[in-house]
Amino acid sequence: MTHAGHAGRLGRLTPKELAWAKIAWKYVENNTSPQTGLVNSVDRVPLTTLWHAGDYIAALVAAHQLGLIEALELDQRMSKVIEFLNSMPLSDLSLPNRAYNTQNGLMVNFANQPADIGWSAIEIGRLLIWMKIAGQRYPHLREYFDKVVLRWNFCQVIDDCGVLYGTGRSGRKQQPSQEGRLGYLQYASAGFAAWGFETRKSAITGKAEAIEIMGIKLRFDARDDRTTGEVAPVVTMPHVLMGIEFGWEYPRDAKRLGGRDESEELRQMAIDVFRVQELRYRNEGVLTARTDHPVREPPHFVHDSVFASGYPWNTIGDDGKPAPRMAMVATKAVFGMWALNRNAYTDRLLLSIEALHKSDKGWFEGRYERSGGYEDLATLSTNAFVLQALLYKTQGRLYPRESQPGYFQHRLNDAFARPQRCLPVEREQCKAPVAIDGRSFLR
Amino acid sequence: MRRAVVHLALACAVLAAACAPQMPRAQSGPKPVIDNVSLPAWSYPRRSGELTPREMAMAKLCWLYFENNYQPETGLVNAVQDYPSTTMWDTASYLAALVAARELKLIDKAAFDQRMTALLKTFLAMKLFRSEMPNKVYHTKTAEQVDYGNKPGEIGFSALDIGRILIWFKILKERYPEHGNAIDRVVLRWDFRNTVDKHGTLFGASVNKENKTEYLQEGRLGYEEYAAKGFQLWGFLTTQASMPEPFGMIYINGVRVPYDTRDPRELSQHNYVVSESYVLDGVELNWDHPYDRSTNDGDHSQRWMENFAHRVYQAQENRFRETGILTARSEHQLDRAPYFVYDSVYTTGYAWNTITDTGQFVPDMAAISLKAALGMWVMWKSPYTDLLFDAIAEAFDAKKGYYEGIYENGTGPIKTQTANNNGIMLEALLYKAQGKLLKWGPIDGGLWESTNADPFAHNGKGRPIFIRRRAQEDGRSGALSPRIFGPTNVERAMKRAPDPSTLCLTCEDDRFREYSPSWLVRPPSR
Repeated sequence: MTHAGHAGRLGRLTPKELAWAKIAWKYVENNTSPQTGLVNSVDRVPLTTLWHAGDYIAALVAAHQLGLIEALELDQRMSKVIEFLNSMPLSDLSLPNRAYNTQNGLMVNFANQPADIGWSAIEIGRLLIWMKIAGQRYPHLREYFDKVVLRWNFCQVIDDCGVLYGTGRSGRKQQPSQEGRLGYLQYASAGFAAWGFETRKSAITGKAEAIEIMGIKLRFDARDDRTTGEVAPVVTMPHVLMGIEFGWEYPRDAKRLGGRDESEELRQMAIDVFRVQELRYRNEGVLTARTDHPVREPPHFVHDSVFASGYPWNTIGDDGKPAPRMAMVATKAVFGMWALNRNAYTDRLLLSIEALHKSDKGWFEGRYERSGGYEDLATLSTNAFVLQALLYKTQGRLYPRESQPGYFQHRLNDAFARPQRCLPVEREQCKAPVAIDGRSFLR
Repeated sequence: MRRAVVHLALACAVLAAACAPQMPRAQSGPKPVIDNVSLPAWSYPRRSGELTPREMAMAKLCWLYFENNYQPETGLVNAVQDYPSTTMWDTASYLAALVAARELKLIDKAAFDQRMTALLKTFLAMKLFRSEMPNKVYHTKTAEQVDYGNKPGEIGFSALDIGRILIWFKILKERYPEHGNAIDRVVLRWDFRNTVDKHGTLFGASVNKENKTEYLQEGRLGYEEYAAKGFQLWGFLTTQASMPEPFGMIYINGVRVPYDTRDPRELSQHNYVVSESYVLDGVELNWDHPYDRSTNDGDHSQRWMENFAHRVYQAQENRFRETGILTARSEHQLDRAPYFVYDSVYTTGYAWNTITDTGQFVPDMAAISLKAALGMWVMWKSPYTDLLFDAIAEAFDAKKGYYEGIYENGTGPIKTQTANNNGIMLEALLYKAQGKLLKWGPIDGGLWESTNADPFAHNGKGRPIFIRRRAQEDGRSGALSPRIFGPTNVERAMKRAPDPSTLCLTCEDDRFREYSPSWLVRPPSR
């Protein structure tokens, strides 16, 4: 059953599904910090990232829409987050730091020690998407989300054509480097596009190659991780997020006509990623729903991929080192594929992770492929995404189409008081050709 | 030296799949399609015709290497300029050079015979690795077994190197039957029991820390099937080694390029895709099945090999078109550390990957390999290979022969000369003059076949078993008779053999098969 922009499952939640949603919300309740209003990225660890701030806003919207919380609680919680976002310290006085302590709101490093460690354009992209969605769904809060964005300085994070840059700190200097690879890059750039930025260089698959796995031609980012140091795995989540939040329709400014429509390409990439995993189950009997996820043991975070660094079904750490024991059926990837594909395979996938939760803790991260054991780590990403997927089932794509001009547009249109922060109207026109074609894969 | 099959002495536990009796290689999922999409490569003819003066000059310069590096004491030739060490692979390249020099009339029959006799004499006396097979490396002055540092040592054997020299022994035997007896005696010395298993998989040997011999499956797509043809030409059944599976396809510069999917991270062998294996198979065997006696070089009877070769060629031509980098990739020596690289079209996950034998990424060592360039030039007559020829034609030292390659980064030639490079260049030139280098001679069989056909002879070395087609009834000498028509007892027996479709690859298969007009062959009983 489908409707415009919708694929996969559609309908009211069954009692069982509603119970699933409540379990996921339990994680949020357990981990909300009363001081800052933020939610811990990992169960009981007082640290969050911007990506997870986006997760939290998503969870909040979904919980309200699914009737788990009242409008009052939504407003209280959301306002607390907005207040934090409007007052938080910024890395290099420009953009949110990669991590914050959820108890005192300070910028921290991943060991939770106070530090300015630079920003991630990809994570900022996700937060931008959810501030846009929440602002449009709850117009009375929109102005305050706009103010969050107007507080930031975009001069370094994105260039005139939409190339994204993250920073890291080495010594006392911020080191910018191009960030994002095929998949998450398209997703994050959609966040910038939703706020009116030109993103033509990130919106499409400029530099892609393809490999054949199980007869499926799978596109992957051809930028070489050996020379750039950034791995480029093919995983499920960016495609799922693109599907659930945008229906694979890249958000574009109605005024910005011309250019090429990315949606068909985005949809096809997602279908290929889903299909190849299903084929692996059919041909080899291995249940597969792979994505990047944290694990309790070293290396603590893996890109559990369909294809990475030259190999199919490669599970690697951030440093590119293989960690095959960490491969698992990831709960969030299952929910994503389940919501977007109504078929026997996703039924089977869901059955395999249905028990992976504890009612007083939330959903677990997944089930290990090698041992069948649970990874009982609970994270905000997984629990927020369960809520998102269930909301998708009831409503279809989460990003609203129409948008009335609000405070953000009024500020930008005031030619005498521009914010001077490299916001969309303050930029030079991108000179790059609109369509940067990827290689033709037809041969 | 080269062709170092890097059998890191990993515990067998890790390599269970490779150490244990090989199970049929399961390839999960739908097999990659080998489509016949018409790449431009399909339409380029091979080069043939008399050599031009420029090409003859090239051949002479190549041969110079073998003049300079000849060791009269043993009849061997140094694999690398002035370094008295060689392998079976490099010796095969020397044999190729010797045949080419003779056929192109760079040397006379006396010189040829004198060199052949000296070499075969050494082969008949040389010590074998633990009395099995030729060691990986020999000292060229003493014919002693040595290690890669040229210090005395038994270090193992390489099935790929042996496969290549078997191809060249066969070519020599067919072209120059006067040397057939000695060649057969050389091969009769070898013990094949641990090299070819009952599934037709090839194994190399190395020595582990406890000084025990370890046998490990050897060969990856391209080289494996090429080397297997050497064993097939001597009657061995190489069922699994000869299958292209397991392979996958990756898109490289718009072309689906086949690669071996056995995982180099687990199995310590790299799956490099290079020109060399496909060029050698083309030049020496015309991408034909090993027993193909057709003299039509326009038809390549091993279709998948031809298909794969075109793909590997096309990816390189396309890279040039797209990036402007002249590309002819192969493994090759260097004139500086790390001294040897796998300079590939694809390996261990990456296109245009250049790695050392330990897997270190060294993109600055990428080069136009002269042997690859000239091999591509002869197998594909195209504007691109014309350009390659111009790029390499003057890359020589007038006193030493052709350089190994020309660095892609623009820093000039790799200033080292090798037997492999100069030998393969010579055989490529000979292919232009004569076509497929394996030319079936008038004499069918010899000491090898008749010894292995003797039911009373002790066959303790895993050699195949031959049987002559109805020679007795015919009364003529089987060895010289052409194909005799009419069913024989054996042929009738073959007809009663089980239907091939019910045969299982992993079972022992004792049927007699076609070998040549007057011989049938079956694998030894185990």
